[in-house]
Amino acid sequence: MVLGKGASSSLSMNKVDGAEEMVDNSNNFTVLVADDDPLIQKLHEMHLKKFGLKVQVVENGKKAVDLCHFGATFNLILIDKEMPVMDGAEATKELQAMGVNSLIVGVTSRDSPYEKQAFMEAGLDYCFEKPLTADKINFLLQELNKNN
Amino acid sequence: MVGTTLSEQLNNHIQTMHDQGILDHHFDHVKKLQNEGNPQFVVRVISMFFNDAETGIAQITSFLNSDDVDFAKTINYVHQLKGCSSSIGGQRMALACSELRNACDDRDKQRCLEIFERVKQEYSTLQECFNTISQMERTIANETGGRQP
Repeated sequence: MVLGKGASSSLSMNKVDGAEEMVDNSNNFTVLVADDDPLIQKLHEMHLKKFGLKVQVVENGKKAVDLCHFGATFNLILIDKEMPVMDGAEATKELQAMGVNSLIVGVTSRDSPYEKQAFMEAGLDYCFEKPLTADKINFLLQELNKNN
Repeated sequence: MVGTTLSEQLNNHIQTMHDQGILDHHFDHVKKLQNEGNPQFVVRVISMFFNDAETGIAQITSFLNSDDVDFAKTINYVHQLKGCSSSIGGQRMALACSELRNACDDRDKQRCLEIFERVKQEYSTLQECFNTISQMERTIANETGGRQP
């Protein structure tokens, strides 16, 4: 994981009897998933819904930007790097320029530190390597709960 | 395996795939997403993976077979292949994709071709594994008459 601006460097997990304790999502957080791969879209959607999150999915960065431009709001935006029409880095820059009040997190297959750093520099709060996992979602929920 | 139910056989098959390193825990997470509301989720996801993988492999084949390899575009598809294989728990295939990415970084066409053969081999192994899982899942679904665990 690469941490972004102002982010804590420690990952706090609640362990109960060796299992990860799921963070309560009684805040009804909403998530926008931007990824062009239908398999990744479906997996992200199902993983997030298992945590009780409300999920909307788009297939490119432009659709993510347009949604926010026309008033949609999300607590969390999970964004892939490589997408057609508008990629994740460009979309992130646009979302930041618009002043969206969302945690913007890159979820990419790119595993080299310099590639992730380049993506981070577009304005991400965090950047994870695929696949999206329960512990990553738990971490993000903890961050969202802190901010709320 | 007298007295072993099909569900037990499926679990044993998955465990064998784990033991051989073909699958990792990400597949277990995917399986846990299947529920009564989505009884054929695993079969559906496997099918989507096959589509993704075959498209990616075809594209990479085309790029690597050209005289002047566009390594940047090849890397994009390699990452896509790595992403979908790792997301579904195809551990060995994802690792092979990582190695292929490194070979592309070095712009070493010969090494790329060698490692790509391994990627295709791992895909073939994974495909066989997933076909067995899909078949078992469908049979279990039919036997439970639409009532899914």
